[in-house]
Amino acid sequence: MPRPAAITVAVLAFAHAAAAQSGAEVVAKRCTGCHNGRSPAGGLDLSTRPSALRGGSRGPAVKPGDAAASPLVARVMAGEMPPQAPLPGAEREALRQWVDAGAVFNGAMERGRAGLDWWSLQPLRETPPPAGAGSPVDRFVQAALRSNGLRPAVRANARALIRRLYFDLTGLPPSPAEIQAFAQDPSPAAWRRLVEQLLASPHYGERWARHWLDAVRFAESEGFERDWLRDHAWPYRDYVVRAFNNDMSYLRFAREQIAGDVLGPVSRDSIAATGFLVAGPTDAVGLTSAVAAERDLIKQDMMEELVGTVSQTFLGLTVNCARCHDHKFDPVTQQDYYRFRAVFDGVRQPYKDVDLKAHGRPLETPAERSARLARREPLEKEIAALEEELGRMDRAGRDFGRVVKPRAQWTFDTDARDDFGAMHLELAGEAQLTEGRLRNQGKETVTLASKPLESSIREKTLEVWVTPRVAWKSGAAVFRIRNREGFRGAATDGIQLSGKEKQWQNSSTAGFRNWDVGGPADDAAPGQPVQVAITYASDGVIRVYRNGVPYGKPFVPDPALASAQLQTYAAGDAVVELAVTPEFDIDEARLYDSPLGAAQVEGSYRAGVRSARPAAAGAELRARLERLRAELKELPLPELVFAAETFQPEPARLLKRGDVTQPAAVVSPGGLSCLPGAELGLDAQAQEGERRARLAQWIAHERNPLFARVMANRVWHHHFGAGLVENPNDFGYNGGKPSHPELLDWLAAGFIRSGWSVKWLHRAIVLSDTYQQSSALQEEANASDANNRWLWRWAPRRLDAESVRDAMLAVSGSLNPNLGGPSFRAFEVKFTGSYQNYTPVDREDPAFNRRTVYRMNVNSGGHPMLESLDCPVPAVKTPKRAATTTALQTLSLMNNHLVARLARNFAARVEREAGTDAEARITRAFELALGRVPTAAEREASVALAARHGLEQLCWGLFNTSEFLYAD
Amino acid sequence: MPTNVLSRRRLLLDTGAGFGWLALSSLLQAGTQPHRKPRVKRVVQVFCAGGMSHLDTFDYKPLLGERDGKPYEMPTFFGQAGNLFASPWAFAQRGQSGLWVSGLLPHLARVADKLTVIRTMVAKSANHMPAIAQANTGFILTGFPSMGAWVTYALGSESENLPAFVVLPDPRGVPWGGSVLWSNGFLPAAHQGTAFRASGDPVPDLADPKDTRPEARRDALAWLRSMNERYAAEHPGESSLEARVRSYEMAASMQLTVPGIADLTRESAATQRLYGLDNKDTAPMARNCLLARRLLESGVRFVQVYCGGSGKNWDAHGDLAGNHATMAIEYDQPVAALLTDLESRGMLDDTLVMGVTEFGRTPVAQGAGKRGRDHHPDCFTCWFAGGGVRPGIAYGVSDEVGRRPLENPVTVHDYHATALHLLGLDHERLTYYHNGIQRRLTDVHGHVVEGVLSA
Repeated sequence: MPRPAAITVAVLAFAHAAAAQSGAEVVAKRCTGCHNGRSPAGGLDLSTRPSALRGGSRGPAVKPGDAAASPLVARVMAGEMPPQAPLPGAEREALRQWVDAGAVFNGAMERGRAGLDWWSLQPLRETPPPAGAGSPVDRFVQAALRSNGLRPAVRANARALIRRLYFDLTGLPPSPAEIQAFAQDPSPAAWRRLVEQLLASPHYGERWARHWLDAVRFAESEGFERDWLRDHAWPYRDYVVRAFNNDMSYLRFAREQIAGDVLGPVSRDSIAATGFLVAGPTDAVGLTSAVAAERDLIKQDMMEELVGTVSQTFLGLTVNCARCHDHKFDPVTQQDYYRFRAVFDGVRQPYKDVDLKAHGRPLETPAERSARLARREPLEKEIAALEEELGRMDRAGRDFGRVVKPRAQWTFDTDARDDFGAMHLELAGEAQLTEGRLRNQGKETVTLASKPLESSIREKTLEVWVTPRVAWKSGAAVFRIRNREGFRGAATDGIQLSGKEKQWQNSSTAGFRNWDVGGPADDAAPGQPVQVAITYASDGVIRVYRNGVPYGKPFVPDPALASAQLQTYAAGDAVVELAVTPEFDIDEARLYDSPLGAAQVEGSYRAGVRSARPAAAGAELRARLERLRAELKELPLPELVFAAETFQPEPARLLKRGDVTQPAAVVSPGGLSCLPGAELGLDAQAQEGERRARLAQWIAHERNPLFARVMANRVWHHHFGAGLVENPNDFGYNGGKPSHPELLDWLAAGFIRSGWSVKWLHRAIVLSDTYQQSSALQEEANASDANNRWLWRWAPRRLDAESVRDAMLAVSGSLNPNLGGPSFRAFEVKFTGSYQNYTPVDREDPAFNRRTVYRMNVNSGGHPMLESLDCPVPAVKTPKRAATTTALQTLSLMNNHLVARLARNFAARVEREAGTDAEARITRAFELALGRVPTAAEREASVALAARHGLEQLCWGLFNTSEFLYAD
Repeated sequence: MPTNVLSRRRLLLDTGAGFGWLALSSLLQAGTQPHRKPRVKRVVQVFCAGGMSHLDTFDYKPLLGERDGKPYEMPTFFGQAGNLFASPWAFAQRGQSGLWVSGLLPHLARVADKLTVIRTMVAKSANHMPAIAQANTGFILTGFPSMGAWVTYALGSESENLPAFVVLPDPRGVPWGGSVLWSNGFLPAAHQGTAFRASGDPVPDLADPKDTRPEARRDALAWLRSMNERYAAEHPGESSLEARVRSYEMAASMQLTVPGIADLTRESAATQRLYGLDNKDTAPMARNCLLARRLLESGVRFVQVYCGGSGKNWDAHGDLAGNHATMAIEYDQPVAALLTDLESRGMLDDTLVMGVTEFGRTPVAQGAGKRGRDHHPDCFTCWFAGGGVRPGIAYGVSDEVGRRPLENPVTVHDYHATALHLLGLDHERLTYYHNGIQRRLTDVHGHVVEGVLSA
């Protein structure tokens, strides 16, 4: 149980807020919260000049040019208006002068908007529940029903109740036994026990984490052009599941997501929590554009996305709308936007060049990090010293008398490292070092890639020594250089043996630099080394050599074709690759950064192949080096997590009209001026971590009225399908006003008092009679309140996409209940250039039978059935889901592979559990899928269907019934 | 709440127009009356992914020929600006209108009098994915509804058997971003684009599983119908339950209709030849263009045809001549045939054809001595054809090398606003509330380009 905390509902003094500059602003910020819209207070609409002059039920409020005769000024001066929040003297004075000056309204006010007196910005006001029977929630709801001439529904039947609660709290259906037990004793005490049991179930966290992940646009691929996978994003998802299951204080939950890496006590969990900050889409290509304005625009767009996510998630405010101008509807200034953004300026997603494996940051606390480094450092130091020593020895004699020193050389004597640079190769699969050579002991060709080039290369020579183990049978692209990045032009050039003619030739991008070489078929005997070299000159001419002599005729490019010219292989991107087939060994390979002449190629051939010579000096040192490397490799490395990495940003500047080319004044990081305590005491140079730590403490605070209200409303929304405030992410003017303001504040205050226990909110709601109402339609109520805003029933709902899939898994007996860990991938990945392409797949595999929350959520590879059931693209913040009915959805429910597969499993389960009796099988199938026994007519029709076409058809049908897909 | 289609739809739903009507309308997401009298009923958008060069197609710049190889200072996406680079193709004035079209597009040149070319398009990004996203959704960030989704949201469907918004990707692969480009964003899922596949079932999950016998499915559907009808009857007032019952009939008719529409052998040999189905280079695009016409004919509201995907496309960095020649062969004849065919069937008058690309290409070569062009969003060409636009005109004038608009710049927002206008929709009133804002296809920008509208 959460610790009860003594709280005081803070009194918000308006003095905290930015003082209105002129009388027009005073009216806009202080008055239009009530005096505005379709039914303004007292009939007085102060949002436009004509309506203000027309006045309200008490007559005209403003007489331009005569403040003394204007009731508006009189009531403000007397402290009667705004009610209970009298204005500071300066603002009263500004108002008086403005009316005297003619009461000119500025443009911003010519439409409805929220001022500083907007309801959601006011302190929580806890009113005791009205008198009456039932829980506090019921008393608020019933008072509202009464005043709208409505009455609540009766309690729902036991089966509806237990199904509703199971789907609502766990996202899974109850078992037939559980339904039966509850039907026998549906008393309030049994209901309470059931609620506690489900809140304690680990499936509760899985269900409610999904709601949260929707709101915070959690994605496991980066979106945009490449849409690369984020393999290490799942620890954030597990963090959220655990936080709900452990009923973590919502205060801490929020603070950790904003600043868990810096705001103590820092733990692995709190680091994973900052996955929140980086879960949105990344335009990796745009961020590397050569045009600075393009890069800046993309960066600012990504920052706007982050500002929007933080402010909508925790504050229900769309601060992102104030990037180019002051917010059109809410009291959020452009200055506010840039101050808020400056808090996050030092947050970046964990990237290291294009190395997919480093798509994450270490998941370790600072203490763990220093302990790990302390163990590695002595080893790393000694390795570095040995490498330098060996390098010195190598450099003395490693060019083996070759006239031109190679840029890179791999001799495979003791390792696959580059003798001269850092383009080391990584051994893989069956390709291993044997007798000073690279040999493939397996059956499939293995391709080894090097570390990237350290500086770009244009003119070059590729040289390789190979020894066939059998007479040449198939061709191979033996040794090539390749740019990996599609957008730089995925070029490649290299040495290949053609499969048909057994001819050495150049292999290049799309054949742009291939030609008919016309050299003789290679007839080297097994065991006899062959040298092949290809030179690439600046005029685009390419020459092939074999065993030191020219081979065939050279390539001369057509000057009109850019793609036929000499290619650049880019630093940090291009790699060399060796394809090792079981048919031949690779003895040595070299990359030169010049086109060798014929004499030089011949010289290299005469220098011979190194594996024919005795090993160089330093064998002892080399052995020690290998031992140390092995030892280092044994040391555990931290796990990775896709969570925030940080840097110290430049001081932030406001951008005029949001334009990256128009930076204006420096702004310091801060909160929003419409809320108390927004001045965070930070200057423009403030340390990165300190910015987020202070903002986290400012946002997640009992003094902040939005923080508790927004979360209480989210929880309510998911229990009833509609919030007390209709739009969970917008508590501003466009989001409207709450249907039950006192109830919302009562919940928010109780939530704070409970120690920010989300489970307290669940209990307050699901134990109420309001929640337990029947879903039956009351004709009269429906006529006046079809949207059920006054809660005269619990409105029936179609299950969301995840619950549909999970229920099919559970009912068919296929559900794999394992919790947490890496996501399962219900797709195949194909690379096209640097772009990832996802094709959905489904198969009978325990991993594929895990709950849908563990499905890897990629942007461009949605599942057709889940998408048709309104599962959103992960990059979209989705505080509430739609529930549409479409023919495409029906096609998916009819024919998707998953449905067919699980219907088969369902039939097998029924046969297992119900034996051979036809009627018993039908009964069991109905109990499992619908939680009830069939009627006589249903039984008869179902027995007939199963008899004619097999039980599987019936199971398929049950998955397609509205009754299965809806909770009521 | 401002007057928009959403609130009007709610009003209609709330006031009720009969149970069956409700069920059907929630299934079809039937739209409401347009804001003004529409000039066209449907749209087909042909999208050249990768960036089709304006300087080698529709925007004739003799100066590039005169100054070929001469230095010219400008920043470019990859930062390797070379010298000015003449188009490898000769330009000529075509048809009655005298519209300039290069020799790269001989078939489109022959139908030049049907085209309304805009030579001063301006996009926001020089980067494929954000630029394609903008061309589709108005925004360079992802997560927004695509134009097809907006249009079907506003106008609904005219077919009970087909999705209202169909996408025909290049059979070699989808463009960067994939299904995000035809996403419904935050609009209801019914408005997402349905991507037809080049092989197998055109629509995902269209065919019954192979091991399900037709009579088994027929009997199971009958059983299901009675179950779902009873459940709907027990829940009066839930129009979605009645809609579910109807949705199985619609799904079944879709199963019957779609394979027939996708079966191009039903077209005459002459039509197949017109599109270029008989030639292996033009056949993939020909199939999609012909399929587009068949879909439009059957009541599909919005069809998008992609020429180019993330693998092979118009992105001519290295070898402009080779790249554009290959792509143009695929594009030219089928698209010209689509215009001719629509016209001969009397459909061109109330169809809007949009020739779109995400950006153009630089007047300078990419790299010294190179023969390719880099990305160029500051000035490029898109076109319209069909109802409501002035045929045979070129709108807007670019500078002497086609780097910037000189007169009448047209942003992507303007282009969208104009297309919506032709559909009878006011781009400022076609809104949907999402996370704090009444969102629009055109963000907070866009003006209808009056100069391209016919009287």
